[in-house]
Amino acid sequence: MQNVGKPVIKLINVTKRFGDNSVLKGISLDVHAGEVVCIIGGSGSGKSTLLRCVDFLESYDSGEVLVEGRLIGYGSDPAGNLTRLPDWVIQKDLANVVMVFQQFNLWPHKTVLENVMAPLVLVTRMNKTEAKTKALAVLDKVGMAHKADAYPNTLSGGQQQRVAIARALAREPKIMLFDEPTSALDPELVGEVLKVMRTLADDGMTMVVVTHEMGFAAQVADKVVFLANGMIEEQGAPATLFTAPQSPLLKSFLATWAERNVGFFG
Amino acid sequence: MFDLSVVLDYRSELLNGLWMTAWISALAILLGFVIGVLACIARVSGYPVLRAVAAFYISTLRGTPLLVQLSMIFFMLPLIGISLPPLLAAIIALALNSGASQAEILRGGFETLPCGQTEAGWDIGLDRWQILRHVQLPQVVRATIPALVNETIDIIKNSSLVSTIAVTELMRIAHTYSSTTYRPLEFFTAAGLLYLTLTLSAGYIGKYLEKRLSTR
Repeated sequence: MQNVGKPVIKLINVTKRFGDNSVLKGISLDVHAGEVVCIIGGSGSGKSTLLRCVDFLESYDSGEVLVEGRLIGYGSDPAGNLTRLPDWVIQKDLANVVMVFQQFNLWPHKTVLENVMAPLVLVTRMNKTEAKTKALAVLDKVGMAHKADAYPNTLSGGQQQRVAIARALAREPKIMLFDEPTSALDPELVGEVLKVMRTLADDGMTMVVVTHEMGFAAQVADKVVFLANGMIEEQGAPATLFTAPQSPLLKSFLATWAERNVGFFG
Repeated sequence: MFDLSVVLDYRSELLNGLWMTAWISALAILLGFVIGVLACIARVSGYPVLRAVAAFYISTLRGTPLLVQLSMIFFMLPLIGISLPPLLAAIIALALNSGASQAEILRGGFETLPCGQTEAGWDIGLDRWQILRHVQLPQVVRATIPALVNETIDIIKNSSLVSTIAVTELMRIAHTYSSTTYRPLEFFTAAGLLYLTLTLSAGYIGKYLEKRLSTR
């Protein structure tokens, strides 16, 4: 899937600071339709903030975030000044984008089915019967239809994350953002979530994934972006980036990772 | 000689009073909940004026006696041309009073809710009111049921003060008949027992709800 047409996500020199702390120092990045982009980097490198700026869960300070050609979060007022758009406009501009969170963020007072039906009934304004059919279909896709009537707290982390993915899928997104989707999971549960994500990638979903799963990045990503200190330090196809890293920071990041996994690779 | 059986001749009057107390309290709690939610949202909103108004409302209503608030609404408002019937004045005073307490109770509940809950709602396209109605309030109410039940019990007891503005609820009835029969001990004991049944029932309903909802 090589760079055909316009990028569906385009970041131009995006910056963000929290108080004195400059978290993003000018990020420019293109993501094309159908591409899987993995963002890797140490903690505090700004990778989650970057993702949250795309979905405007975090406002950015300067630069541009363009999704499907639309500037996200800001518009010109009649005087020509840039102002923050009302929430509903931002949400409409981001209608094709959904986020999957590290902590799943399922609603504990609703059953699995109700969680997945909520966007259909409340946002798409589907009637209940139709919404239920649709919700069961997406739950089936992530292998969770059999737990439709369970409450989230009774499920394992991996199951909860699959339900969260189903809830996101119910909106029929074109772009999915994953914010460390497996970091809160016990090691033995990571696989089932990655498997679902792999299926989505195979179906041609545009995905931006912040992750520590180097194996997933190596096998599934079209492009890997290495973030350090709020800047893109290096990016490229996983094959070249993992085997022939150029920047010293990436070399040491990968070395640390390899060291941690030394038992597996000898 | 203490003889509780004398109140039995007045049981239908006393039960009417109990009924009045029950629904004045219920209305005050429900209205107070709506006021409390609004005040709580205003209190944490991004608008400084709203925040200040809410903070002022909450601290004055929580910081003055209900009897004073009741008098202000019933006796002072007529001076500026607003005259309310006793029952309406009583319900408004109790609701405003309870609203301030409930605002603080709910604020605690909102603060313990992880912000990821709201973010997930925003992300899939729910508007602010849908998030409040479908994501935040159900969880906040569940988390604060014990405190809300306490507040209900307080309101039931405090509603006895509205007898001072001639609302014929339980306390007023007890007072009236204790003076006509010269049996104050019996009538106030009976009133006390009836208040107790009401507050105990509120407590049991609360326990039941807490148990039922916590299994989820």
